Amino acid sequence: MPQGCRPAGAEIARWDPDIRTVSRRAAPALAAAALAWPASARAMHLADGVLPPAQAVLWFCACAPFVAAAFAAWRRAGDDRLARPLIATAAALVLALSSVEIPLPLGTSAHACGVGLAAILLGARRAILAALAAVVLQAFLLGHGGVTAIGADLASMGIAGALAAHAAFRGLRAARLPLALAAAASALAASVATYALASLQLALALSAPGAFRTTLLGVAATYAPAELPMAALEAAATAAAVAFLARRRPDLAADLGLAPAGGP
Amino acid sequence: MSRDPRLRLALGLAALALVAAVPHPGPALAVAAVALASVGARGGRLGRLVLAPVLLGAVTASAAALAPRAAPDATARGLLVAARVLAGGAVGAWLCATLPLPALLCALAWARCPRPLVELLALAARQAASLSAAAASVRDAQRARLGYAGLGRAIDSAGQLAGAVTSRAMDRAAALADTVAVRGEPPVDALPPLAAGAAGGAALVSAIAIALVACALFGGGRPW
Repeated sequence: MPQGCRPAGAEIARWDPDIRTVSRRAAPALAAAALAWPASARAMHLADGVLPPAQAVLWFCACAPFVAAAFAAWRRAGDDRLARPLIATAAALVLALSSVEIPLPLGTSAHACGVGLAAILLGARRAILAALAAVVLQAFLLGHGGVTAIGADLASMGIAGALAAHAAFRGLRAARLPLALAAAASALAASVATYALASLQLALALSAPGAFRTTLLGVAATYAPAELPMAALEAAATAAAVAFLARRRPDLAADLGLAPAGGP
Repeated sequence: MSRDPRLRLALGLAALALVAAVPHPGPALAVAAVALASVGARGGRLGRLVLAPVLLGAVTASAAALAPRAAPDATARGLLVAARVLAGGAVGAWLCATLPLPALLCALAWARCPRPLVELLALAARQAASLSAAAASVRDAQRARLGYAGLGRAIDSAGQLAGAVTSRAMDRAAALADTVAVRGEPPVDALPPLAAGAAGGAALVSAIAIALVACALFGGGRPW
């Protein structure tokens, strides 16, 4: 490598004072510029054209093992009469919840994910399948999220969200946290994981060489004011929904493994 | 334009691949113009389709210009992003307008999309329609009882709405399982057959080949 050249990305990885200063100045400027444009947006999901082709393919590839495992779960579910309709119903729930958009700048919008609730009710693999169906239907039928961005959207909303919610719920229930509290924390974990990965994807897609940190700060500063309250609201609603199920339908809650047959 | 859903899907995917791969805004803007004309977008809808890409392009250009080592082609970068997003949105709108669910499922099944996914999409779409009706009825009842007056009551009502809809969804899932068991056929088998030997064959292969060649030639040519 010639003298003076550094490998690609080296300037991103290195935390030098110049970048820090410029980032501090630029991130609020970017956020303010973005907020000044009250764009009516299509999705928190990334739209077609946002991702460079290589990144779009990369996200599809990253999702492939998870989707393969989820399809295997679908095939195995053939023995369980109720399993496939349950997954489809969870997909419909995710589709409905994540289709209610609140417009945001940067060509995006905030919305509930619903994947946290699906992961709590059905587990991570089935929640990933539900999210896959929801993302595909949204892209092709509602124009909510891009077709070429299905991989990226599934990675953020489906995989990261479902895994985070599932792990949090299992861990918190094992720690004997009350059902509603565990559900709320799990939904919050799902939302935060989703938003964090979506921000990372957007920053990776839009940043110029050497400007990744600046772009990420700008995107995060733009997302956070709307997404974090939305995540808190979704967590509260998820807790209320799970508590409602445990209170009104203890049979169903027991079937889903949410609570012992005696109650929450 | 052929009504063959296979051709529409292939053309849409080819257009999206081309838009994503070509490193100049011109072809993307041309694709956007054709797609918008096909959809007949005008007025507020056209404004919504155009505004978000313009914003994204402006933010991209600003990020490039404000970077520690300002990119010399910041404006070109922003213009390219705006053109691609506009074209992507326009092609997406065209696909939404021309591929209703049954046609989409037929095309996906024909394209050898994994069978579990096609089955799942068919079931999920059916469930979504019935769930939205259930959710609307519960929400109307809650509104009538001032369930959304104030933040606390609204959150509580939203949770109860989600719980009630989930509960109904589970019941519907059981009913659906019974229906599938009685009828003895997975939904994907009930899709209407596609016309044999339709226009599609050669055009379809051509469209996919064009998109793939475009990706191979231009995709890695100029990172942005």
